[in-house]
Amino acid sequence: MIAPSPRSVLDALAHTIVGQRAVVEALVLGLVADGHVLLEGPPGLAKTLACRALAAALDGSFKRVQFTPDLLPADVIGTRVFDQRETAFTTVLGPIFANVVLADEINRAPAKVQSALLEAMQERQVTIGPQTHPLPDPFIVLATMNPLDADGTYALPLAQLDRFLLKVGLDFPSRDEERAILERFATEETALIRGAATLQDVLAWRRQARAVHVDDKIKRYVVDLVFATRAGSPYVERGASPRATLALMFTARAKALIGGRDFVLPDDVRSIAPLVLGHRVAFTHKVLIDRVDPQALVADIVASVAAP
Amino acid sequence: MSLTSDTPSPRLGVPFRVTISIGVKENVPTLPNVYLPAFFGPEELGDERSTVHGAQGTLYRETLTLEAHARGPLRIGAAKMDAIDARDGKPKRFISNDLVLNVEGGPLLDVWSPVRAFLGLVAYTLLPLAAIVAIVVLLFRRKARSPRVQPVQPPPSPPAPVPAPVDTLSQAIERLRDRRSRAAVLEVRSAIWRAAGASPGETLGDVEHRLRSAPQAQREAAARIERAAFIDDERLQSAIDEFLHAAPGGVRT
Repeated sequence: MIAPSPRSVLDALAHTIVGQRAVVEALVLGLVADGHVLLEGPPGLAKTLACRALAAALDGSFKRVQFTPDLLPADVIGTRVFDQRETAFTTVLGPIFANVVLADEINRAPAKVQSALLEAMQERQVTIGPQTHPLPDPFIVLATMNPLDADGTYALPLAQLDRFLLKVGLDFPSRDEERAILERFATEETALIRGAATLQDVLAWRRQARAVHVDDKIKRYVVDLVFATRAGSPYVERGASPRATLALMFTARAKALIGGRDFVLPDDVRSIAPLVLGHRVAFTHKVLIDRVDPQALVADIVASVAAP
Repeated sequence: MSLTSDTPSPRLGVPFRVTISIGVKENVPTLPNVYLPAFFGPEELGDERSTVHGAQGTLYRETLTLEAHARGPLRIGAAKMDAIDARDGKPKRFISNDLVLNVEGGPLLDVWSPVRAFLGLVAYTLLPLAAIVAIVVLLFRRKARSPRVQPVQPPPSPPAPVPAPVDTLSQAIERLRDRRSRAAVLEVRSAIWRAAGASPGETLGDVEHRLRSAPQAQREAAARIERAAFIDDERLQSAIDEFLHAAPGGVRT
C-alpha cells in the first residue's frame, strides 16, 4: 500500500472547498512545515469550512473555539476545579488540547486571551496551576480573523502575528466558482473527506520536509528577501525578523515536498514569500496616507529581489 | 493641570523641557488617560513620568525633553486628560494651558569666514599664478601656429561577432559534457534563460511561462537543468545525465 502524500490532503480539501486554492495550499503547507496559519478575510468565504475539512482529512482530534470579547484564557487552555468528592483540585483541559484547533475570529478576543493561545502555540505546552501539560503532536492552530476595519475587533500585535507561519488573505470567488458553490452546496450537505491521511503520516512528512535539500544559492536568496524588507522603504517601519528567515526556509522545504521534490527551487521560495513575510513587516502610517496596499508592497519587495 | 517650560526662550539646537503637572486629590497609581500636547517642529528627545503620592493626593508629572531646529515662535498645544470629576461624578475632559515659546539664536556661525579666506587665497596666490600660465600658453600658441595635418581616421572596424543565444547554448552544453560540474550546469541554465528571453533573476516558473507556446521538450529541458542546478551534490551527476540525454531533443542547439 502506498503511503499517502501531502497531495492527498490537498485533494481532499479541494474536493470540499470550491476555489480558494491559496487557502487550501496554505493549510497543507502549515501542516507539513509544522506551523500555524492565519486566514484573514470577510465573513462567508469558507475559512471555517476549510479548517474543518483539514481536521476531517487527518482523522485527528479537532476543537473549535469561537473567540468573543468576554472569553477568558481558562476557556482556551483549561483550568483547575475543586472536586468535592476527592477533596482536591483537578485539572480540566481546555479545547486547545486537540490536533487541529480552530481559533475562529481570533481578533474578537482581548489581548490576554490572544496571548494565552499564542504562548501555547509557541511553547507547545500549557501550564495550568502547578502542572505543565504537553499539547498533542501534531498540533496546528488555524486562526481566522476579519479585517480590522470590522467593528468590535482587537488588532493582533506584530509579535503575536509573528507566531503564525503563514497568513493568507482571502478574496471573493470568481463568477464560475460562485456558480460551482451554488451547485455543490445548494442541494446537498457539506461533504468532508475523512481519513485522507493519518497523524503518523503528518509526522513522517515533517521528518521528510526537514531532510529536503536547500542549496546555498537558495539560502542566499532567502536572506536577500528578508533583508529586502529591511531596506529602508518610507512605507516600512520595521522589516521581518530572523524568525521570518527560518519560516521562509521551513515553508519552502514543505512546498518542495508537496511538489514531490526533495530539493528546493527558487520558485518554491518566491511563491510562498508573500505569505510568510506579509504579516511580519510593520508598515508606517504613510501606507494609510498614500493608500498603498501593504500586500502589494510586499509583493513588490519580493519581486525586486532577483532569484538565483 | 498645567503646562510649563523650563525656559521661555529655548535656544536653537539646545534641549529644553516642557512639563505637564496634574494634581489629583485622590491617591491613584497611574493616570492613564493623559494626552500629550501637540507640537510641530521640535524633536522629542525624551519623555519621563513621575507620580508622587502625599497627603494632598497624587501629583503626576510628565516631562518632555525637546530640541528646536527652527528659530521663531513655537506653539505647544494644551495637554488633555479624560477623567471622572469627583465633584459631580461626571466624565470630563480637563485641558491645560498652552505655551508659546520663542526659539532664539543658537550658536552663531560665521558662515562667511571660509569664503573670505578662499577669496584671499585666490587674490594673493592663484591669480598671479593663473596670469603666468596664461602668458606661457599665449606664447606657445603663437609659435605653434602652423598648418595642421588632419589625422587620418582609420576605417571603423567591424563589430565583434556576438554569438547568437543558441550558439552560446550549444557551446555551454558542450562545456557541460566536458566538465560535468555545477558551474557548467549554471552556465547552461543561463544560456537557456537567455534563449527564452528571460533575465538572470527570473525563475523556472517565469521561463516556463515564456516558453508556453514552445515545444514540450524545451520546457522539460529547462526543468531538468533547474533540477541539476539545485539538487544536492550526490545526485548532481545523474541530474546532468538526465539533462544531457534529453538535450538533443529538448534544447535547440
